[in-house]
Amino acid sequence: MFKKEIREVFWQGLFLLSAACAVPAILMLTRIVSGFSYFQVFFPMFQFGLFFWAFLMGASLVLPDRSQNALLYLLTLPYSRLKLLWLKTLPRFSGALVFFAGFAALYALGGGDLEVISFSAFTLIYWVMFFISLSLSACSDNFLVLFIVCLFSLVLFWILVFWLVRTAHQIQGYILYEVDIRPFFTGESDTAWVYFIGVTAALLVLPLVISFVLSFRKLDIRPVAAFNRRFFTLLGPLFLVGILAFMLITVPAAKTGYRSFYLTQDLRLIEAHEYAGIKVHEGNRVHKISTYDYYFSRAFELSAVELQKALYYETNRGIARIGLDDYEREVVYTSPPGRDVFSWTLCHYAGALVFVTRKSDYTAPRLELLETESGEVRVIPLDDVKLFNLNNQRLFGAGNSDGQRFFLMAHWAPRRTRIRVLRVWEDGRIESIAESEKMPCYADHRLLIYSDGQILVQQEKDGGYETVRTIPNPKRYAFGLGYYYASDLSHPPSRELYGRRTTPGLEPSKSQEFARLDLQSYTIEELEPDLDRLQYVSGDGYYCVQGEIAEGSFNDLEVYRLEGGKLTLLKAFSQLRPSPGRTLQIFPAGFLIQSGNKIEIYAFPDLRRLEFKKLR
Amino acid sequence: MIKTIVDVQGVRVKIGKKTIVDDVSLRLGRGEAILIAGPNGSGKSTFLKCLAGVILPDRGKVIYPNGTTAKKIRFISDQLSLFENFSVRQAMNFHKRIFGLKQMEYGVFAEAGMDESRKIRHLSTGERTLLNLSLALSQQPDVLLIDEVIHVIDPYLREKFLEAVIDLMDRCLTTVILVNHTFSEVEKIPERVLVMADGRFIVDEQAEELGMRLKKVVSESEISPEIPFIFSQPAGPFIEYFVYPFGPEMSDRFPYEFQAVDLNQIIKAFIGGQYVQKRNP
Repeated sequence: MFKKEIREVFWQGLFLLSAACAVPAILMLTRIVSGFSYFQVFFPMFQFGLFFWAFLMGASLVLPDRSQNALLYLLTLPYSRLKLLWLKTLPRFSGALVFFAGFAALYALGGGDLEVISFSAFTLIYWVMFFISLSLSACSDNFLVLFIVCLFSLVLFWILVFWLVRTAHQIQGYILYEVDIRPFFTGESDTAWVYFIGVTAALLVLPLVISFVLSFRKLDIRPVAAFNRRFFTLLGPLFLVGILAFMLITVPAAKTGYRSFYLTQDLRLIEAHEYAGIKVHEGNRVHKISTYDYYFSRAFELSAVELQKALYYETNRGIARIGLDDYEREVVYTSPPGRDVFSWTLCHYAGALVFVTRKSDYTAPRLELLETESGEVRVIPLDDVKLFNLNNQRLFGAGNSDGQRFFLMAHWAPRRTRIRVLRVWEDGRIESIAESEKMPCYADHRLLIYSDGQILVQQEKDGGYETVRTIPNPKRYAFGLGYYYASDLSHPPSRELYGRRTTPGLEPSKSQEFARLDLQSYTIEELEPDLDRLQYVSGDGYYCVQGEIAEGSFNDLEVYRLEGGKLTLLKAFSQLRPSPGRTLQIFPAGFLIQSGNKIEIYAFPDLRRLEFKKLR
Repeated sequence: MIKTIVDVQGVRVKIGKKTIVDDVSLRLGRGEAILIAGPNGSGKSTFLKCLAGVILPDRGKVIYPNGTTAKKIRFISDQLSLFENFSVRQAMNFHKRIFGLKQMEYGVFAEAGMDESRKIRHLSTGERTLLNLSLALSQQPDVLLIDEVIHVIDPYLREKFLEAVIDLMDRCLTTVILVNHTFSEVEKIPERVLVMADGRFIVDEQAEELGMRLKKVVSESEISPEIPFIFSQPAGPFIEYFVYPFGPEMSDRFPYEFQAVDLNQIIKAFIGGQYVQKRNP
């Protein structure tokens, strides 16, 4: 019996393979398709053909026997129904598996670039198709009807899956912006999202398969309606069980979607979900904010600015504001058509938000100032500055002179060895005030630039910058660690700066040699070479995070306070598991650790643990 | 005492909304030859399919108390079901392998001199029947279920086949359950007659007893209302009455000639009676 089934599957497979090989050859020989290699034509057709194969393998369980008038004979054979099912299913499952493995091999051998839909989506749809057609294989004795029913069921199935995915997020309290199916098919979805869909699909396929197996135990030669009645009677409750399992297993996992956080100065936690909305956690309470913004959620801590009891953040079309008193969200700046806010440039100084915008083709950069009180926007074109590449610019300081605000911008061109330091005034003037070999730093109204193994400390005088001190810097330390992504351009007064040894040129250094610059005595003190990730400044304090990064997560994370060149261990975390999202997020007010689904938040300066009861 | 080989307990089968077999219970003995008769649509074939296990009852059960397994039950249905893409040889080999047979019995099939390389889908109904019968005989089943297929074989092979069945019963004590509409050709076989109507058995008697309990009266006029009959039909200027149940005392009480009838007529009378009852409920 098993041999007979294997033989059937073998011939069916041979037929499919022959067709999959012959059709591209015919298309190419007849020049209907030209300009492609054989493999380029074959692979997409093969992938598409495999859906039919999955259907055939599932659907051909009983149908050929029915159409051959052999079902009655089959049922008189000395096998129980379950054994018969096993004997017929195993070869077909193997057939589906062999072709899938073949596809995977071709995918690895270069087919990946030719896929019709992504590998993950294909895998899920392929197996769902197999199990759906298997489950429905006894529901009709007409091949065409069965094919249409399976296809229809497959479409319905995926609609249901995506609807449930959406529902899962809504149950979790998120305000879902949309269920975008396209990334699933193009392979742009996150792994977590694909797993989520996979688990949901499995929970819905299982009732179908179980109903089929239970119904098959009573398969007889009566008209298919009798089988269908039994099948659907079982399927109804089992499907409800599947939905229940989805609620219990999958819904809690909805939170594993990519989340990003921001800890406010008054220690409220703002949670932004990748494909959901925003929640503000305040002790035991949670405030939900309906928003369609998602663009920022990947790195909320880098794109958000807290200012005057409000949080401003970049969206894909401009800048939005969440009032921390009323939890109202409003769009405060919308990019003109064809113009975008340049990512992660949102800073603030003296009540104004400062950011760079550019055209969609990355030309015509502008520095824009948004007065948070009045809503007034000032536009300062940077066209004259010849910004060769907008990626190579950074706002790093701001000040006030003669009642006019100015903003310091570092800009470097590819293949150039020096960084230009620009001063952009709010009235539109742009001055090139210096050139530096390393990234300049602005601290406590002092501008640090680097030249020929020296640090020039400059201060504003008579409308310009004058060198007030020259510090020998033979090891080319670049100071200002922790300042790079600080959104407050005024930079509070500091007694010290920390830096890393660099090599000549602008390439980032991987040196493990660090030094401290005392801003009162202007002396450089070399430090022990263990300040691996010294980059966070909160108030006037420095925090140092050390740990080995593996697969996007930290192992054995340690947080230190750095003061006067001395490290003091504040907290150690071990065995952090990779999490969807970012394992470590650091804010001016504290930091957050995600390990699996566990989230812990600690506030600077004493690393007090913060509890948010509704944060899961 | 005959050993029970099939115990049918309260079997009910529905197809769609119609009850085809309705709460049937009976026991069939080892080595019995049973004829099941009844009007079209009375549930005979469905009942046979229940015994063969190709229809599973909605209620009740069919038990083979002596551990008779599916290997020892053979059903030759009117559908003549086989894998049609097999050749005769493949079908035989498959059957042999699945049922663990040492050798195939080609008797009747060999008589027909059929080409074993032919595909089953190319065989005529008669040839298929012969093949099915050969497979069944090779299996030497404990229970052989035959559903209205004998009449499609030519008279020569039919006789050979029936001889083979009788031989099988003698050799293996096989219980043969036969559904047939032409009773003259199988008259030699049945020991027990079951008549089915509307999903129930209305008669279950030994063939010999039934011959004694059913008599025919030919009369010019209506017979006495005290004589129970199941069917009457005009026969030229006369009317034939099929008296059932007949008791020997009736011969003394009534001035009629109570004639013996053959199995064919007995069954016809029961079936005819059912149709009359359906017309005049």
